[in-house]
Amino acid sequence: MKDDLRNRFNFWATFSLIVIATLAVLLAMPLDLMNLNPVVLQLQTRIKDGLGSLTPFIAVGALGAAVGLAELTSTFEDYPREAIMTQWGQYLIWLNGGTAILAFFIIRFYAPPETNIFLLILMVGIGFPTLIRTNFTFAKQFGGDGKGDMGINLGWLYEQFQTLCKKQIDVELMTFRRKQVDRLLARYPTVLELYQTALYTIKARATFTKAEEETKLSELQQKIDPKFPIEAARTEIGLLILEVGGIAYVDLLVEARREAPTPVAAAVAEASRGAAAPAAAVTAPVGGGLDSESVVKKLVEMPLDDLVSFGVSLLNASDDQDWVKKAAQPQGNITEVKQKAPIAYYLVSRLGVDAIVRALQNRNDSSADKS
Amino acid sequence: MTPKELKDNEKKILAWIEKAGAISPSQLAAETMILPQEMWEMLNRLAERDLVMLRDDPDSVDGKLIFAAPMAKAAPKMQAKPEQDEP
Repeated sequence: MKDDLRNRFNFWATFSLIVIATLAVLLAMPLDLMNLNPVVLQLQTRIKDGLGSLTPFIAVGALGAAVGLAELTSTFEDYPREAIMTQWGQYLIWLNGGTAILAFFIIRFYAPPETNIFLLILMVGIGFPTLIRTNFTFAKQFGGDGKGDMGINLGWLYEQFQTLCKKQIDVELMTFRRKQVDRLLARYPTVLELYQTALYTIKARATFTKAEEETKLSELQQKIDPKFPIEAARTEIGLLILEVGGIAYVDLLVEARREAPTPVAAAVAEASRGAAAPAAAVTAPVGGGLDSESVVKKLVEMPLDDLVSFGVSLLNASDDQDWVKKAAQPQGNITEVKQKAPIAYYLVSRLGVDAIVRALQNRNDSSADKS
Repeated sequence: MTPKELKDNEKKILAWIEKAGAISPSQLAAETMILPQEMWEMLNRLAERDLVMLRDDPDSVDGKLIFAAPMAKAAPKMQAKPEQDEP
């Protein structure tokens, strides 16, 4: 997929590897010992010669590109790999590599033939990137702020290009982040799940200092502020999970929900539940595609009296039966849903999802028989 | 009223909320065996004192979610395990 920065990265890495491997095999094979067409032998010799004369250019280009790469990774510390794979990130790397090669070509043309080629490669490969970022000051004002200095800013042009690249990469990364958050939200649609996942992610980061952990927790707290609209809260918490856990972690979370959990995904999901044991244990999906929340919602749809008789018929302990009856007694200013929901949760926690699903099924069957 | 003046049930539900991270009031009532009416009254009191945060949530069965508020950390808690309500 063209839009996925990580896929783009994999494609180019694989393609480059194949080209290099093919060239290496072609050059390493002792073709002259084989009974091959002279054209093939000639081709091998030409490629060898060509590579010999291209090597200094490749080395200079690689040095220049490495400088561009270092600039990118230090500017976009949180998403270095994705920043490199953005379109403008690649422009920056190619510009650095390309201009270094051009400079080497010109310098080699004018340099005396006896000049040491390795020194020349180093001088251009390191010196040229330095030169295009340099601001030469001929005269400096006493105690001034630098505005009155006299000099030539050779780095001006490069600075402009760098600023443009930074803006464009930022925009591209923003789109990328949004896509990752959307993937996460599609699998973890409720604020409850997102909040608990975020809480676990923050607490599980081994490299966080106590102060950093506190800062992130307070950021999370701000995002669930009741004044914040629910949709904004979901997106913000998703973004926080992405920032704290990274893209690989988001992938793992999404995968854990996409299919039947793999051992790793199941372990992460299990560990994630561990951070928020009581709530998540009840909200965790169970076999057969039914989760406890759906069962609770089904139970809440029943009239209060039916729910009570249904629950009492299933519960064995008299304490449990008493609690359900007491919870259903007419109460002051709370709605019927606020009475039914705790009873439904109570039944699910005492009897389990499977038992309730079976009982509901039997109830439906018997009412169908009656009618 | 200071956090030190919390009742036992209030301490118990604060401990539950902190352990759960976030939970719906109905689920909390079921887990702590506190009757719904009492639970809602208690939560409203705790929210007024900034010890919990109650926010609307369309995905929750009862339409609300409870979160531990930063101030709740200062409050003393009881061990978070399902217990019978005091008589």
